[in-house]
Amino acid sequence: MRRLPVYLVLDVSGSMQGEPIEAVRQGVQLLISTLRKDPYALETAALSVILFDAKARQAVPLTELMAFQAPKIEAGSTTSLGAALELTKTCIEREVQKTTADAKGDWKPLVFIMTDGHPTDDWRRGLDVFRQAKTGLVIACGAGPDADTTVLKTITEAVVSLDTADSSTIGAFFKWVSASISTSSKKVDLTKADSSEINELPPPPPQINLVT
Amino acid sequence: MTDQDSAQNALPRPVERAWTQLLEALRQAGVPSAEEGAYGFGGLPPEVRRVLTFIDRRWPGAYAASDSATKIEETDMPPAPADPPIVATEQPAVDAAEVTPDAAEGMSMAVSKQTILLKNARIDQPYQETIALEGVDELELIDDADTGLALDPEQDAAILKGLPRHSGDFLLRLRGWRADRPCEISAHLAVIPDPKSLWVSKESDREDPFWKPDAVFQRVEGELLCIGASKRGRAHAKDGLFRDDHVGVSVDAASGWHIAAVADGAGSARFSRRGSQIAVDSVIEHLPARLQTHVSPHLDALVAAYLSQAPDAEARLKGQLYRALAAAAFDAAKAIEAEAAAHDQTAAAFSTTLVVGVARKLEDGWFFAAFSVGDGGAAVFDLDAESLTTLSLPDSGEFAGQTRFLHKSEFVDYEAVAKRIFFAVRPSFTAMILMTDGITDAKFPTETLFAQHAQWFAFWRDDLAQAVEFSRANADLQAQLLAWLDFWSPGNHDDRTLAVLVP
Repeated sequence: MRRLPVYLVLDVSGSMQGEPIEAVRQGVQLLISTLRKDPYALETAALSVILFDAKARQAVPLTELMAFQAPKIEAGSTTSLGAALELTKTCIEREVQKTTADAKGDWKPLVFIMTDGHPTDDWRRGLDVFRQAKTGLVIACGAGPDADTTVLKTITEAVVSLDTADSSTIGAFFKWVSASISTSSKKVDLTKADSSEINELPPPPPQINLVT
Repeated sequence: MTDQDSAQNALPRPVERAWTQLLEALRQAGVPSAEEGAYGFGGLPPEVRRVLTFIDRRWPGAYAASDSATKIEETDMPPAPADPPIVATEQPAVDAAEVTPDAAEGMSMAVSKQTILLKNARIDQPYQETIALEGVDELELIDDADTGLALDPEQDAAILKGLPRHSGDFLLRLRGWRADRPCEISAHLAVIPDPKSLWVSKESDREDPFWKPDAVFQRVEGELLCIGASKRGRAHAKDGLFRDDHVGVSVDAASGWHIAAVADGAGSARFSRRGSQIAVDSVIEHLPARLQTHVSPHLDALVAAYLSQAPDAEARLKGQLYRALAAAAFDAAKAIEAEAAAHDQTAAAFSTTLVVGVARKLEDGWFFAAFSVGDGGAAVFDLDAESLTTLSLPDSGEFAGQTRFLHKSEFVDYEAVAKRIFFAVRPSFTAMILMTDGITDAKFPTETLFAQHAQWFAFWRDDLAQAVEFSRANADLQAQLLAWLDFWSPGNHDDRTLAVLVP
């Protein structure tokens, strides 16, 4: 069974405290309950959640949607984006099945990164490590006015930004992530091909701006 | 141990206070007092009985020691499962006793709350999960959120069991005790739907000019029994879309050629269902004449030369097959272009793959040939001789998931085209099979597996021929084959089409 791995890499730094972190919690919950109603995603998608504040940790290892349980998400302190990128690479290498002669491996992982601020650690070093991982589409989301989209643009071509980090905007982002996972899992079923461009995903709603 | 016991035997202050107030309230209400030994539990309102029962269970002897008359009789016990005792205890305990706001506050402050995640359940599958919470005991389920789950009364441990009948996210509520404080537990439970139930089937639009039936079956007989079947995949059925695949089989009695073609219209192309149809129909119509002209007259001589390993025999055979098979495919590409032009469309909107296979009896044995553009595949095998010849090229494009399509541009270079021509000469065989990728992706996930005879034998013996009896006498062949095409394979829900030629 070829899975479509999805890594949600989420900033839980101190600035996310309150409404934003609650919105992230609800967003993850909505994402999984929506995807479970989609037969493509339910059969193929596997989800992992990586959280980062003062350090990065994998809150949920790559898990099929059927068995997935939302993690506890609490806001912490600083923004260790570099550590998060490095950890994501480690997790991908460990968890994503490679293709062999007798069996096709997993599809290339989709990576969604969401942050609301500036990285406080050596993110360039983390990025160098992250680049060694074989990923599919990597989408970075700058949530709110303080997010550093220039940094995100260095990580990936596909960057979106949210004007505000309030619950409705963050909710809209997770809804879009969920729709993107649906689209990608349908695509791998029917065409046996990964998604590699952001324009293969559903168009983002008005609250989500494409950063060019 | 003894600490625990003594802690249990002493009523916590708020409870003690409530208890005292309850007795006071009862007295004021004119209920004969316990001291007078006149009231049995039977005379009390049910809520109050539950309070007493509850206190008795929790602190054995806490009041019975001082008041033997209030001993609970078995018959007075409220039946636990249908009548959750805890709900009834706390609320009425407060109401009935008309406790002062002070006391009520003391009670509610003592309740600790906790949220837990239960292991995911699957719809219509037995569920069992042990709820082990550090330091919490006497768990009782007060709200099953209509999941039908219940705590197993036979077990000491809190084991939540049942058969969930609805999918979705549910919030169950439990109560228990942590040390001497009541504890409320909110338990999140996800009941996962059966993926199969999410694949609904919607009819395709019959008014559409290029509409075609969602499933077809064809059967022709010559020296071989030739079967074709094609079925719309779940992915298309779910959205009420059309079957993009197409199939055709024919026997030319005069020349002895058996012909089969399968085609898979590109999902991204708007009229690909029409493209696949034109490709198959065109081949079925024009190939017999081309075979008769270019292959039949030379076949015996070329096969003999090939079998005696004459150096140029293979190239010459391929040359003749090129004029028949590749030329027929080219005709089909032209027919698609003409159709596209007639509808003011580009040929790309009619993109389709095409796999063509032919078989003809030789004086001694059988001759097979195939030509294909795009994915899907063909092979002929002999179970008894344990041999397999694949008759198609692993034809993905440069990048994963890409495939080639039947366009005129695929026919510019002879060498490139000739590489797609395959033939085989065999004394006997079990079956020749042509398939679109809706079947190969699921049954032969890698190119290596497609080339392995063991994989093919298992596919035939344990799967296809197990479910379908490929014999001329089988009146149920159609039903059996169409049912087989519904095989379940997660992540593979494309249209499925195959042609089978058997002796």
